[in-house]
Amino acid sequence: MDAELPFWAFWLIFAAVAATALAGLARRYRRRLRPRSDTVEIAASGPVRRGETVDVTITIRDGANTGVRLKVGVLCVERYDVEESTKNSTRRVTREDFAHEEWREVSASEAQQGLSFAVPAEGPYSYGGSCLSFQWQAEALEIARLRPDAVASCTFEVRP
Amino acid sequence: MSPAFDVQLERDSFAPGERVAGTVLVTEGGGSRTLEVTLAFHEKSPDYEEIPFSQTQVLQTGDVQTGQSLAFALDLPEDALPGHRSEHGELYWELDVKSDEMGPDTHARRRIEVVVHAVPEEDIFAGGFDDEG
Repeated sequence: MDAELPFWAFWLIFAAVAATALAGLARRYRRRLRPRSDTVEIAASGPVRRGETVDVTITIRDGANTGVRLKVGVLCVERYDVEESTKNSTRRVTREDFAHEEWREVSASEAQQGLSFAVPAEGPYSYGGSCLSFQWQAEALEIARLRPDAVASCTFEVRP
Repeated sequence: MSPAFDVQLERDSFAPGERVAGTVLVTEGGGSRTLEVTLAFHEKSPDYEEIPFSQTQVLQTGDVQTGQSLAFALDLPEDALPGHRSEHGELYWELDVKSDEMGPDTHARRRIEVVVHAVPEEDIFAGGFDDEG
C-alpha cells in the first residue's frame, strides 16, 4: 500500500497551518495597527467604582456623520508578563487580553450621543503593576470595509 | 528536624486599614534561627510575581517548641486594594510565616481577603450640612 501523502493533501495542510498562524498574528496586532479616527471623539466619565455605570460621550465632527457606521464599547485591557523562550535564550514579554468588553452599534445620525455602560462589580479595577495591569478604556470604532477600522479611545479609572 | 506551623486568625476577611491579628501555633518544634510573619500584597502573572507591599514582624529568635503560640498583629494600609483573579493573573494578600533555618526555610502561608466597602455619595451627605454656624 502506498503510504505517501498525496501532493494536494500536503498543500491543504500547509495552507491550513499558514492560515491559522496568520489569523493569530492578525488578531494579536490588529488593535495596534488601527489608525486614529479623524471623525469621532470620545470621552468617558470617571472615576467610577465597580458595580457603577460609566457614561461615554461620542462626538462626530460636523458633516462627517453621513455614511459612518460606528461601534462604541467599554473594555478592560489586561496586560501580563510572560517568559518567552527562543532557541538560545528567554525574554520577558508583555501580552494583552480583554478582561471585559461590551460593544454596541450606534447610529451616527446625531453629532453627539451619550451611552451608559455597566462596570461589573466582580470585574477588575484599574491597576498598573510591574507584571500585571488592568486598564479600562472606552473606544469608538468606525467600521470600514476596505481599510482598517479607525479608532478613537480614552481611558477612565475604575476604583475598587 | 524542621518545625511546622499553623496560622490562626479569627476571620479571613478584613477592610483596608484594619489590623490583621492572630497567632502562629507551633505544631512541631524544631531548630530555627528566626521566626517571622509577613503580610504582603502579591501581583502574579503566569511566569512572574511581584510584591508591591509587605510588612514583617519578627516573632522569635531561636528554636521553637511544640505547642508554643506566638501572637502577631500587622496593619493593612488605608489604601489596601482587594484581591482579584483574572484569566492570566492574580492580585492577592497573604500571610507568610517563615522560619529561617540552616538549609531550606520552612513556610506556612495563609491568604486573607480584603474587602472594600464603598460608601455611597448620598450617604455621605445624608445628614445634610449644618450651616447655622
